[in-house]
Amino acid sequence: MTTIDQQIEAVAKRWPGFKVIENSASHVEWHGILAPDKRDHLVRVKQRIPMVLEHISLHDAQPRVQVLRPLLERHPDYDEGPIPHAYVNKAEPTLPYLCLFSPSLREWDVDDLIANTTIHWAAQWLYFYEGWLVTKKWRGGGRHVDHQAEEKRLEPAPAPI
Amino acid sequence: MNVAYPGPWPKLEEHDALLMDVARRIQLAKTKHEAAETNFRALCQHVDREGSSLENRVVECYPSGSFATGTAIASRVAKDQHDVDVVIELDIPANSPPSQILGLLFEAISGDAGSRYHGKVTQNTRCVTVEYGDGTTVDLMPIARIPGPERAGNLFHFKKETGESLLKAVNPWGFAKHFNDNVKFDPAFYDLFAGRRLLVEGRIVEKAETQPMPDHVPFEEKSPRVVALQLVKRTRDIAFRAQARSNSRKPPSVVLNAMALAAGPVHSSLLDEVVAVAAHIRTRLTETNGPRGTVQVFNPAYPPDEFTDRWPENKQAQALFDGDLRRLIVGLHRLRSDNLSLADKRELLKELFGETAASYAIESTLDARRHEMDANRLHLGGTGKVLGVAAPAVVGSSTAARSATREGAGELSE
Repeated sequence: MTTIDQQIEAVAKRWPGFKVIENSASHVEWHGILAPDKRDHLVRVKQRIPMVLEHISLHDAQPRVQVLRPLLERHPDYDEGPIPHAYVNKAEPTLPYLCLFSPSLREWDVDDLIANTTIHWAAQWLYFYEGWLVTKKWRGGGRHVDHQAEEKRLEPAPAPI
Repeated sequence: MNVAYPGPWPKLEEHDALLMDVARRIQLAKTKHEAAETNFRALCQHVDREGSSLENRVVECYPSGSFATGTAIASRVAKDQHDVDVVIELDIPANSPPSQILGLLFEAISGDAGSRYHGKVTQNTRCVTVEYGDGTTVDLMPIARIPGPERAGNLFHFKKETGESLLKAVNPWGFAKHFNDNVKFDPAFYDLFAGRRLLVEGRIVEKAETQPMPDHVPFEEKSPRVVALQLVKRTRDIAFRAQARSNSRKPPSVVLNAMALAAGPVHSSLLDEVVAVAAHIRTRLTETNGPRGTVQVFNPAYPPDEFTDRWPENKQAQALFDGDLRRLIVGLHRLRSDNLSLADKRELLKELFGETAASYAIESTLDARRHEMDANRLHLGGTGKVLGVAAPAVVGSSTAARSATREGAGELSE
């Protein structure tokens, strides 16, 4: 498992504009600017390493990415609206979490460097979000989990992550 | 049939890719091209039919103008409409009265009430136009051969409103041949143009695989000069849609084609090529040596045939089109040099080439990026700037460790 210190070091090297806001041995939060098209987006990336005895799925253990500024626009009438490929955030509804990979296909795990995966994927997400605002169509791909797959996901993980 | 092609992945500057996407959208679909060919051949047979006022008088029938030079574009992109210019060579005295010949051709096509083309035919000053149900038109221009180069002939000009009547020596076939002989096939450009389409369609694969060729291969452009001309013409068409120009004559395509032949060496960048062609035409538009104080352009295959006999009518008309080309050049420099957002690019392309083509180009860009991303070839710069496949030389850029599938909905636990 990649440690928080290793994550911080890798992000500092690849994304020098990202600053650590707070960190401990088990969690870290960065703020940084991503500008995949033209305008700047201030994003927050958080990662928490699950405790050994915590029974948590990859779905919930994934790094969390939110767009702090400008807030994501909601367009229910656009393709995949009101916001395409995002997880609802009930506590802060204006700050949904971006869907960046497929937990069911296990495209990310805790050994991965956030610098080489999550932040790239977040920039890509934002690029297609900008395209969505212009064309009203989501051209960034992805998939929606069907009911059966969702049930499977909710089953206890066969092995610790 | 969904066929995948092995690389190479086309490495294009984004501004060139956008212009290729616009060009692809304004072209005629191959099926439309084939339908146009079928339509005009059927028309010519109809004119030649037994009982027609021009029975057995049709010598030859061939496309002229943009169709003959491969520079045709749709007249209405969203509806995929197009106009085809066709020469119909008739076995008649070359000094026949123009009103009589145009009238006979009109009669031969229109036929009796209830017949195939009846009510769809219009007699114009130099041609007879047939309009099909889908809005597509065919302009049939009658000519009668005269001594001179191959297929030179007199056209028949008769203006009903003023009674103006004249014969004009022309050689459209000679010009089309001259144009095609002087526009060289550029295999590198052909590959890039085709590669861009395949990338947008998501049909490029990493490794060579044996795949059957598709049944229906679309036209691919063979020369940047041809595509540049198509883009210049599209800008002209958009500019002349303005209400204020509803009574203005458009610069004829043949004039632009003839000028473009002398625009110097072809550029490998499409944007550079469009700028070079537009700039060259602007230089010609400074000329005032014609009888109306305007530029004169002649058929290089047959100099007695003046292409500018009806346009520009005066210096104002010449200046008007010069302004259109200046805006095109300024716009293209912005497309290349300014750091434009996707929204800015769409707006700029819309002004130059119309909304349908602009939207298509932006969507194509997004689709191309998506396919680069899926293949994990999408390079990002220092702040995540999307650079595409062409970027490995940019310091600090990188691709992700792997591609990912966006999935999900619902909530995450806190």
